[in-house]
Amino acid sequence: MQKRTDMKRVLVVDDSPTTRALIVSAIEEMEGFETIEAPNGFEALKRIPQQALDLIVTDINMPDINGLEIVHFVKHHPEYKSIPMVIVSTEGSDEDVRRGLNLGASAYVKKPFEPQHLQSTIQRLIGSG
Amino acid sequence: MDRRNKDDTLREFLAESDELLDTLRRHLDRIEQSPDSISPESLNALFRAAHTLKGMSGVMGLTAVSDLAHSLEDLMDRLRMGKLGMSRNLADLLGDGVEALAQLIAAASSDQVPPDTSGLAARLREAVNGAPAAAPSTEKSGVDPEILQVLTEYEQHRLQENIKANHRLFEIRVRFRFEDFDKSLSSLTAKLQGVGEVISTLPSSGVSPEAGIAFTLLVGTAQDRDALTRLLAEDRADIVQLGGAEPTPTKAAPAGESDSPSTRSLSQTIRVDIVKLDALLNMLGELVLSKSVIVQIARDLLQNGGLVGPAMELHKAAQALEHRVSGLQEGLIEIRMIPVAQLFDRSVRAIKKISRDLGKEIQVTTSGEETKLDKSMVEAIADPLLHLIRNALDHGIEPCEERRRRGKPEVGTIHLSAAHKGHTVTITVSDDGAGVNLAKVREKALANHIAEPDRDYTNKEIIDFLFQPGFSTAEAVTELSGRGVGLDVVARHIAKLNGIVEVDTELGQGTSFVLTLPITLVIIKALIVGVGTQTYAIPISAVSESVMIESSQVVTIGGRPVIHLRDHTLSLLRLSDLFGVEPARNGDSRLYIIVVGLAEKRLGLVVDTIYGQQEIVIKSIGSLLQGIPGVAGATELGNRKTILVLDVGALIDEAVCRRSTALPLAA
Repeated sequence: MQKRTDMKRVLVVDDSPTTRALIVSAIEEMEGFETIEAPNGFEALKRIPQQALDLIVTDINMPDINGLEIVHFVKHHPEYKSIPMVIVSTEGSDEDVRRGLNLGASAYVKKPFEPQHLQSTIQRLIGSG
Repeated sequence: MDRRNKDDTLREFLAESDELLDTLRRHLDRIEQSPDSISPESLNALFRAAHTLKGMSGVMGLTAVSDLAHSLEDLMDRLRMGKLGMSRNLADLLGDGVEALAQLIAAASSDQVPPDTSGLAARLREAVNGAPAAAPSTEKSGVDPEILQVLTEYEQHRLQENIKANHRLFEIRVRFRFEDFDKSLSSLTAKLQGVGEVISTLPSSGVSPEAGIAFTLLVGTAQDRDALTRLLAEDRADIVQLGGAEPTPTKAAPAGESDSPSTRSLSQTIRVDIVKLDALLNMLGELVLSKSVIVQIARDLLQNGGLVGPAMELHKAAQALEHRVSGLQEGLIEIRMIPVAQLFDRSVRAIKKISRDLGKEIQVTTSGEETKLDKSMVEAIADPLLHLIRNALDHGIEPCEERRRRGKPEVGTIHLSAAHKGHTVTITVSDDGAGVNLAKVREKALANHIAEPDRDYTNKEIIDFLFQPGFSTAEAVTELSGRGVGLDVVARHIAKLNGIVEVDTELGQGTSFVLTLPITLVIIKALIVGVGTQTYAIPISAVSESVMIESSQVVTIGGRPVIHLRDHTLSLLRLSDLFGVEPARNGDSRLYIIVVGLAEKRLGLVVDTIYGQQEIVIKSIGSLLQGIPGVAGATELGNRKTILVLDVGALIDEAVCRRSTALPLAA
């Protein structure tokens, strides 16, 4: 599971293709970042062990396996628990965001987000070194 | 975001909006039709659709859409959380809201003046304000605190509703193989949803490819433990019952699924699973066969001169059928066609990324993006194309200083182009880099013992060494091109798709790799040839030409039969030897040679007869013939005969293997 380059690799989990594409484009605008996409919790669980990841960005409200369950999974896993996680939520999901942060997510970004806001959040978490 | 990216995102947004609006309408319809048995799933589906629309339109900057979706979402949230009861008025209000949303999205996509929705917004706000704010109850459930903390607000509400309804609560623990856990979990979830509600699915952290992945599902149901044990007998599940009362019998929900007639779609596209198109095309393939049978019968009747009148009629009808079937075929293939623009876009992004890593300044130009190819073909060539691009960036384009020294512009150029050429498409990756140093390649080939020291090689033959397994001229194998994966893999990959790779290079000026590919993989044009009593099909896209020669023109060089064709030496492979077929002995001293290619390599296949070209549908041949080299599959001809389709790449490999053992050609 070695990374081929020194690019920072971010997993983006969101079940809306449009939102996912917009998050991906905001991340890839930053130099030295690449993304992997997962359209649902199942795919996220599959991707996490396959790739060395630097960060995970996840939506909360998804069918089958929700974002909180993914945060719980990552933050309780001996190998992945150090991967920082960012929750992307919409207004009105404050309680869900609070739970996500309690479970170990490092930050949250509210939709609609400015690309710069998401970018600076990510830079703050994994930008240096 | 550049212009095209923006258009793509808007298209994606419209397609997804269409799906979401459809979901909203469908569930509202369901609620309207059976207002007495509204399922929590319907209410949650409404909320989720509005929630997603709000989020994505917000990020797209479509504030009016986002605001209205937000108001609807608020109301739907109150409804799914049980803070508001559904009523006729509310259902109407939601219906109005959804239609207004559709109009707003339509206006946003076509620069129309958006409709005024302020009145509607006020009505929605009023309805929401009538309900108390969210505050989830925390009745004792006996549920593991570990699970409680991952429940979303809504899931927590559903847990309480199950307790209120006197349902039993279970924790179901299962472990699945990692490779296909999603399928196993989906089937388990579907079973459980048949008897109750899956409130949460928590993956455990103990995942490893060896041990698989474990899940704990929180389920509310009226069923008892024994019933669940029977239901999940095959899943080897651990079923733990939590605190909860004896259930009261539940009413079965009426199955009233009806799709509301959507008045007008916002986007002009529909999404279709490619598997469905494959199935349809397969069926069409069968139809093509039936057509060929009829055409053949008509032809036979006409030639045998029997019932001339009816035979003519049948012949005419068969011709009309032929015409219509090919129309249908073209139409269906057309649906599968997508422009290579998407692939080029991805490639341009990859080039920018890689060149940044390499510290090389590259400008990328593209042309012919509108050229269309079968979607499965586009997917299939993505990897080989990327490999050629990496190659150009890594070995082709020189570092800035070197370019400056040579009087070239400092910024290197990579050009991607696509074009139609008859029934094939060519895709070209060109660079203005250093070009292939043929002398160096020859040196290396000698060092690797793949070239003979005392032989004169043509430029094409030297370039062909590049496609030998493991061959690389770069002084150091750079990380980028990948160790041990070379152009041989690209050539093989393309040959599998019945295509050809050609190289055009000039020292100091640059290199072009040209891929020639069939437009689709499903129905291909083939050359039908005869060897003795047998008939074979050769994909036409792999054939560069066919020639007729006198058998006396065959000479033996290094134990191999060859002919001199123009200024090239062409190795020959007799299909009769390969397949152990008795060749035709009719005293004819002429030979037919079908020249096929893999990359720069050419091979002449010796056959007795060329019957002509025909469209064929390749069928897999299963395990029966899998061991036979050089066979890609089977196909049926109009005369109901099953024949083998040759795999050109494998044949060329076979010929290379046979080099040491002399091939007796002259019979």
